[in-house]
Amino acid sequence: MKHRILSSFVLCAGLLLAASANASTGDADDAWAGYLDYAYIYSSASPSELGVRLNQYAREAGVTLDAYMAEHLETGSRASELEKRRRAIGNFLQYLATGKSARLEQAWLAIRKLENRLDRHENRYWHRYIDAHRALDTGDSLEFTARTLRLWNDVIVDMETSYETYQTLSLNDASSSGFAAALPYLYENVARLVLIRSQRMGARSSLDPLAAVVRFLADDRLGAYPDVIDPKASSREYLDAIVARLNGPESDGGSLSFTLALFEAGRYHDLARAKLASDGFSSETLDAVRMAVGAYQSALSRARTLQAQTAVYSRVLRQLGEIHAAKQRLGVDPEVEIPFSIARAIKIYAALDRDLADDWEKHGYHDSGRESYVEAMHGLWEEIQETSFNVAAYYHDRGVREKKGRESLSDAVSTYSRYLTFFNRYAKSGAEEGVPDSAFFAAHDAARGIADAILQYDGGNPSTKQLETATRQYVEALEIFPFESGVWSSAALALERQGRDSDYLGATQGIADRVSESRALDNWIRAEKESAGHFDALRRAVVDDLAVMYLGFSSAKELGELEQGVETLRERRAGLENDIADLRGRLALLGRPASEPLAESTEPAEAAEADAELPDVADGANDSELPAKADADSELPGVAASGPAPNPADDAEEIARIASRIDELDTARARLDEQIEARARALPLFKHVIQRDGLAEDLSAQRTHPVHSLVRRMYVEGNADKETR
Amino acid sequence: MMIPTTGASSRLAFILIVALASACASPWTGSDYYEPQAKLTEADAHLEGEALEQRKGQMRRAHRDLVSLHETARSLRRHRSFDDIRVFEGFVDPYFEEHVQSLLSQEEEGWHSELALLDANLLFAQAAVLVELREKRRVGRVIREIAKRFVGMETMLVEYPIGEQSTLAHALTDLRDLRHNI
Repeated sequence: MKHRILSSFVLCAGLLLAASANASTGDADDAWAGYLDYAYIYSSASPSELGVRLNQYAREAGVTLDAYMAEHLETGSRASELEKRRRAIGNFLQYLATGKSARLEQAWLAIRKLENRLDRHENRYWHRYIDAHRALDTGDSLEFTARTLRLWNDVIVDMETSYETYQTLSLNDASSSGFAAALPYLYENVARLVLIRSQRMGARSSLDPLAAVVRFLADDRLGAYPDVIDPKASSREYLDAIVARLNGPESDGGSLSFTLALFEAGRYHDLARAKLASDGFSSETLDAVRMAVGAYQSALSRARTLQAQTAVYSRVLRQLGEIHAAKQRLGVDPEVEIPFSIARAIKIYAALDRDLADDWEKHGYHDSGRESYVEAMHGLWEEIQETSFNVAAYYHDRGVREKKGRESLSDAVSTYSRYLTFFNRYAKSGAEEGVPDSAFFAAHDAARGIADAILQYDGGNPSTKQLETATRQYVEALEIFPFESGVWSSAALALERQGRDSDYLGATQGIADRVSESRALDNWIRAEKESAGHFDALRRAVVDDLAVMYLGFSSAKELGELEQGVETLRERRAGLENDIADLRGRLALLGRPASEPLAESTEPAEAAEADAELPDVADGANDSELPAKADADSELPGVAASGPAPNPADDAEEIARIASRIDELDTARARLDEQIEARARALPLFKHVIQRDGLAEDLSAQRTHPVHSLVRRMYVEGNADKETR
Repeated sequence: MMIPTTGASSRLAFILIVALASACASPWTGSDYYEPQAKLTEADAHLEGEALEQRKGQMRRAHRDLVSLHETARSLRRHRSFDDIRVFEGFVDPYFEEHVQSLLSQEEEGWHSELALLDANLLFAQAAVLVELREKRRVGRVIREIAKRFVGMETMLVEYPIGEQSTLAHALTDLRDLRHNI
């Protein structure tokens, strides 16, 4: 933003001066005289832009500035006041363009010759302005501050009265108003001197008294004259951003030195981020990252309050996270030394938490208030959690990619564990004011992340003990956020790999109870809030064992097969129906009414019963366990309409066998009915749940997603219920 | 007229040139300008019309500036940076003496009734800055000045403490308490 402002400012200045020069008589003397007399308009440009501008003026005037000063300005006692001032300004412009201190001293010597004429605003302005630069040039920040305040008192305050008088008399555009009409430009120059040039020249400390001047400028001064300075060319926008920071939650108790340092660091951070996005880890990117890190260190070294440390860490953690995310994304691992740690950020959070109840004001939030103190705690927490996840994801990815990735996977687990420890310490009840809503879903993510990483141990062959740990973490993750089907299946997989798949329903029973009994969830669904339909489906699913089994042992990919499986069962039921009808027809032929009750079967349909105990969700796997039509037929003698004359004893035996078979098939049909009914009920629930699985990603990406508050309420409720039990 | 076009839009150039057309048309040499030398504190009692409105505007702005000074002084005091405070005092002292003092109605000219509230607000804001700077003696002087100027006006609502309103009598009591605790 600063560059844009300066460019447009310089441009306007150039145009104005060109207009001035061209309106004059046209010789070198008049051209440079105009440029120097109106130098207050463009003297705040950056060195390079000013250099370009001076060269352009030289071409237009046909003589360089130095040559003009040598040839046209008298020296010594013969020099007039005007010539002395122009010489001072000319040398000063050369200093600003080249950075050569000798030119500044020449400017100072020239302007000092007007010390007997400081009653004139113009002389006084250049005298004080050049003097302030001398302090900057020698690196004396405190002296720079003192001289800039003097510039304000001696020049600006006095000129404001004159300017108002001229405005009242509508004289400020007229040539007779003289230097007083320059006031809007002087505001711009002071603003740029304090906010931009001081930083460019390394004034990092002792700027705090200048906060008063910054506030003065923001109060209807800078940018208040759009008819004189185009708002696009004004540094007003930049000033507003600085004042907002100075008075806001990211301040250091109102310190301008810190505010400027943090702003500067943010600017380097933006550059590094842009470089990272466009060039990856190029050498320029690494340089930009180092610059940003250095600027953050510089800001931190100025931080005198916890408020300021929180502001620095909230920002620098983001950079740490961005670097790890890029490393993961690009699959490279350059050496980037960042002397800021998540552990240190946690300590700062701990200090904020300690004084949240009573002593919060002593940490710098006097002006922004307690609300901003709490907001800062939330902000820091969220940066801790997001950086933790970026770092952990990087290690996890590296652990999976590397042949011997155990160490990286352990680092991922440690990083997630640190977040969980942090969470468990500061979110004991879940209702803590300093904990943001998004922290709870993050705890779910961390628990899941630990389990996912453990499952990758030893090339994806963790020990039984590690698998037990992973299972516990998955269950813990589900207790906090049960709405993600992937975690249910991961928990089932972890159990399966231990040979404990039959424990799955038992292990997840507590989660099912928590969901089905949650008042917070019930209220949410009744109020039809965000994703209420999805939550309702999951609530109905977790009380249905078959749906829970689907969640554990099926995936979205298998949905089509599962639905086909139901169809297969229906077809087989129809086949059984036909077989039973055939058998009844045979009975009728043997002289027994088909409607007569059959003798009770003494042979239970074991296979069918076994099948019904645990519906096999892998479609068709249990087909062989059900009585098949072909088998039923083969067990019975063929009954031909034109056979030999029946023997009554044989008939009785045949009737009994057919009756028994019909009974057996009836039982199997009843079992099939149960299976079909169960699957027809559970499948739509499962389907509904897995179709809304993007919710977890939304919650990861959006700190302010409304569902975070539900996750928190359910956590608080669950904790309270645990205590009650 | 030739206009340099270093990537600029001609429209912007036109606007800017028109804005300073008069100054550019007859380059000012800096030697023929008029600068009012008289202080605006003269003849306060006779201020009226445009001049009175201008004075009120200046006093309101000065009050806002004092609020900014107060905010800065408070911040410096909290940070306990004595060098910064010293430099700030070096700024504030002449600002009070030359600027604020020049805006206040002068006794010898007869205090202007329409400026009384603004006078009071300026004095209280000045005192607030001095409290932050721990200038006990000078706060005392401002208290005496207020007590002398506003006899019989104790029920007037003034802007003190900074950002709040209270009666002059109450504000004065608060200020005395603060001074006592410096």
